[in-house]
Amino acid sequence: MNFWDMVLRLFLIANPIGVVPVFVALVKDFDAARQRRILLRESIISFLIAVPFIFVGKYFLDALDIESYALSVCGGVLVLIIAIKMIFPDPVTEGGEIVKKEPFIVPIATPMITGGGVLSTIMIIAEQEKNDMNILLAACVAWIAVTIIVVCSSYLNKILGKRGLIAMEQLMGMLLALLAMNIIVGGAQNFMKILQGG
Amino acid sequence: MGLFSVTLTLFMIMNPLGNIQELLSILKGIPAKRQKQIILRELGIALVAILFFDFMGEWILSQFAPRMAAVHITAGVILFIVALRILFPGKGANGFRVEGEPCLVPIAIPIIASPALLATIMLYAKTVPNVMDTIYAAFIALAACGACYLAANFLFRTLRETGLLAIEKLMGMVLILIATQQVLHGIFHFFATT
Repeated sequence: MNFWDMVLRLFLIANPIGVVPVFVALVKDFDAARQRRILLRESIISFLIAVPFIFVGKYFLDALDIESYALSVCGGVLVLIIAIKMIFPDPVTEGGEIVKKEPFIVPIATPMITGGGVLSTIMIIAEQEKNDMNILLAACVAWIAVTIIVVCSSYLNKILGKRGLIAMEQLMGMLLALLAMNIIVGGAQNFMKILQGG
Repeated sequence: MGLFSVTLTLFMIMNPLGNIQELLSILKGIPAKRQKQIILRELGIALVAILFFDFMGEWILSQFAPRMAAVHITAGVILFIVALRILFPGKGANGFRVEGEPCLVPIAIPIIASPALLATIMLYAKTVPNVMDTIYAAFIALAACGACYLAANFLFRTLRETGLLAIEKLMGMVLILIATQQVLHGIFHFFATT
């Protein structure tokens, strides 16, 4: 597989542009500088999760007896839960400003950036490309692009304003739910094929 | 499933690293030496529970004969919810605080020998081909779990809250993967036997 092929694949499946509005909604309760810090950290963490997977992903899943369709369905279900939480946010308790807990690893680094899709893709690439260092390099390049986009998403805040953000959270939640179901159905179809074959 | 698979899965479900903070907060105020004794005792109780469910599992299952599909799916769903609570923490503390020194509850059950673990043990008792494999796996996983808990203070000092939280979240992701696979296995069995 061509080097730039890999970079493009990883970049597209991580889908940073598509989920920028989601990130904005997820960090909307924090001030701008903190937002950028959180997003930068999450992007790095998502990279750190993907990297070991390049080298030992297959062995790890085999050791736990997990099939690839489980990855897809699991990833999809997680994204679906996040989407539903966006559409139906937790009720705010009385008492004014609650100190909201910073999102850590979940849900931004994973499953949003490095989700079931990314991990599946890494597995597929790892099968075809014998040189693991090549994959690592491709991942680095792809992630530079991902990080730039992710961190810049906090600027969307200024454009949208408070009401705009809430509205977008609802809409994005709905779109995300659709995306999630798509992933789940895809994984389920792979599963069904195995059912029929087995 | 090979011995390594079973051991690793059981260890993941026991999730000692993820539970260190909870354990430390339960044992707070108790002198260090007594803490170690309590942990060892609780490990012993958990072992008894695990062995009980391993041997009796087959018998219990044959008494009211749930289908394999049902056991898989139940184990999967319980594990799934456990993993969800790790990944998306809800409000409020765990409701298992009882006065006095902890005994049996909440350390042995449900922290070490959680319902998810016991359901999985019952499952393995039935599905793993070599009967002794499950027992060896349980021993090894429990020993590793015990080692983590005995070193709890040290791990907490080294990893700090953030480090432990990161491990907890990653464990949550692994658990949710295992859980999803279990449920899908259950559905597979469901179709295979219809």
